[in-house]
Amino acid sequence: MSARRGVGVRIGPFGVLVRRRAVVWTTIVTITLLAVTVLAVLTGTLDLPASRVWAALTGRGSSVDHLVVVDRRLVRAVTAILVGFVLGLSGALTQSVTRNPIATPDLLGVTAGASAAAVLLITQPWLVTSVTGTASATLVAPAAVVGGLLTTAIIVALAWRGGFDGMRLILVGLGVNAIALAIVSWALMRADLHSAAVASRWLTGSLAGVRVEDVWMLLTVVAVATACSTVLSQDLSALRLGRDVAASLGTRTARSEAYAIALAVVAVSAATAVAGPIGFVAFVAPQAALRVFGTAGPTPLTSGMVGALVVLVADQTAQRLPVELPVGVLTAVIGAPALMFLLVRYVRRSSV
Amino acid sequence: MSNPLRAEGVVAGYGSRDVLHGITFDVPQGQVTTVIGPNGCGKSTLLRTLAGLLRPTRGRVLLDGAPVSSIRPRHLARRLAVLPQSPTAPEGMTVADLVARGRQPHQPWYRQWSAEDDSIVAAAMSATGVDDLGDRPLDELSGGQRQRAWIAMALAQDTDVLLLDEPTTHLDLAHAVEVLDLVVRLRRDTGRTIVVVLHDLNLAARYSDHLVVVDDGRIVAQGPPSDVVDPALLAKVFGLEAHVFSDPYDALPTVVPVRRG
Repeated sequence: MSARRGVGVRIGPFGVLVRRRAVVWTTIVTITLLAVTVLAVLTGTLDLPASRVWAALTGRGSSVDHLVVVDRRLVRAVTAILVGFVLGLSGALTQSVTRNPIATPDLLGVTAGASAAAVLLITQPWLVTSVTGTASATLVAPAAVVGGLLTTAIIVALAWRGGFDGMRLILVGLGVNAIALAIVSWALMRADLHSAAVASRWLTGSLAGVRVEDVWMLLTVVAVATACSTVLSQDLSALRLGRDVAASLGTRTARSEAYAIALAVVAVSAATAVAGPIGFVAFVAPQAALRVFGTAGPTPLTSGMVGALVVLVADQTAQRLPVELPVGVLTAVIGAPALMFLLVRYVRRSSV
Repeated sequence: MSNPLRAEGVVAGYGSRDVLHGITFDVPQGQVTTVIGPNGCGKSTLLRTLAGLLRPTRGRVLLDGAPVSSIRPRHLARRLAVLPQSPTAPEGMTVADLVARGRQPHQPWYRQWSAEDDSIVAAAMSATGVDDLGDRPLDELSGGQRQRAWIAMALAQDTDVLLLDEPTTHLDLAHAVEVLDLVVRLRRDTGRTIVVVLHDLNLAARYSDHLVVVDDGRIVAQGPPSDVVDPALLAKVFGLEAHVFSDPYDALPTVVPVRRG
């Protein structure tokens, strides 16, 4: 039987079932990620020969080459991978806990809440400068994190009844999402032309201005999120079978749900702080991953890999279009039809 | 003979509404006990409370003498398995993957596979007759096959006590019988203590060693089916006017509703 499900591997106290399909696709996705990253580093608007790129990478190039190759191209590609991984992983966490593909941070108002906080700060800087006296530009990222957490607190307070009921969470989330987006619109209406333009750019999600420090911050987030997801993976598998079944398998349901949601929200807020709200990745990546990897429900790590691929490819494509677009526009082009497809099928399934 | 599971003055419900109003009874060791009663009488609530899925507001449930609420969930899941009513699995999940989930209470997070797990999963699948369906997604199976796969998951937990909440809901008679035959076989072959909630009186009478009749959150009768099922009880509890015959083959009580008009 294990021969059909996969090959069991025991090393000391550790034991895991290795599935052929998972190994094959992990390899394919990893190779593609590497290939696109190499392409991203080698090519760009500035035409650099491979030898100069290599020199820049090994620290022997000119400072301009170093700036282009390492600080621009490499940092941007790596950030795309990390942001995408975080978004995919977070989406898998919330989709598993709620057993609903529509329940992701980007659709339920967490990302919108982070955006509202960031846009308010960009367009109404006096809100903060009058209190702290610091320039507000450096505070956009922390504001987005705080906005995301605050929004989650509101959603949870309204939707929590000793655990998450999927439908209730979605209805509350949609409502909160609408309110947050209304705040964004209001702030943009009241803003002067310059800050409105800055805010709009941030709002579509862009990796154009990322810095090396962002990479270190995101690497930490990815490491912590990966470790936590691994420990939580058993409980998540159980929760995908429903709260009662999960409890009957010995899972402390409310506690595991709270951990998973908290992890997802912190991770998404961090990614949003760096790249702005890159829409639909948290929703699409887990759904694509479970179909590609053939897992029973969206698992965080496979979803993270697919998310990384989606954001990296979308960002590289966006850079190379005749008119450079923010990455968020491309992910929306992929994501919106996928959302409609799932909604139509969801309605069909539940109406049979 | 010690009885593994016991309810003592259990009052339980949802929110401020009590569904069970003081239930005391023993689940007999190594038998199939079936809980019956009219819709909304608290059958499922009773099962959920016995399983520790619902905390009683008063009274307590004892498993081998220890209050269920004091046992760590993971340890409880190694001794008592419960299958809720109409469970659903993620789209595309295979039977083998579902059954393997039953090993979770025995696995730490860093060891989600072992050869022992594998052999217990295989045994659970062959006991329920789903060993040929291992690679099939659950959503492609018949209702009876799917239900047997879920029971296999609960079996893989390797517990002494097994609780099943309406395992025959939405199944036609042939598939319902297939599931209940399995229940009786499990009791016989493995000596498990099994509690089932059913709404079909004839099936309950046919497949149980011990019947518990619940009405309005209280136990109104219990005992062997032939002692419990009679016209007076059916009239009082179910508001059903019916004849009760002893069937000519197994001498088990058979309920035949009286047709009016």
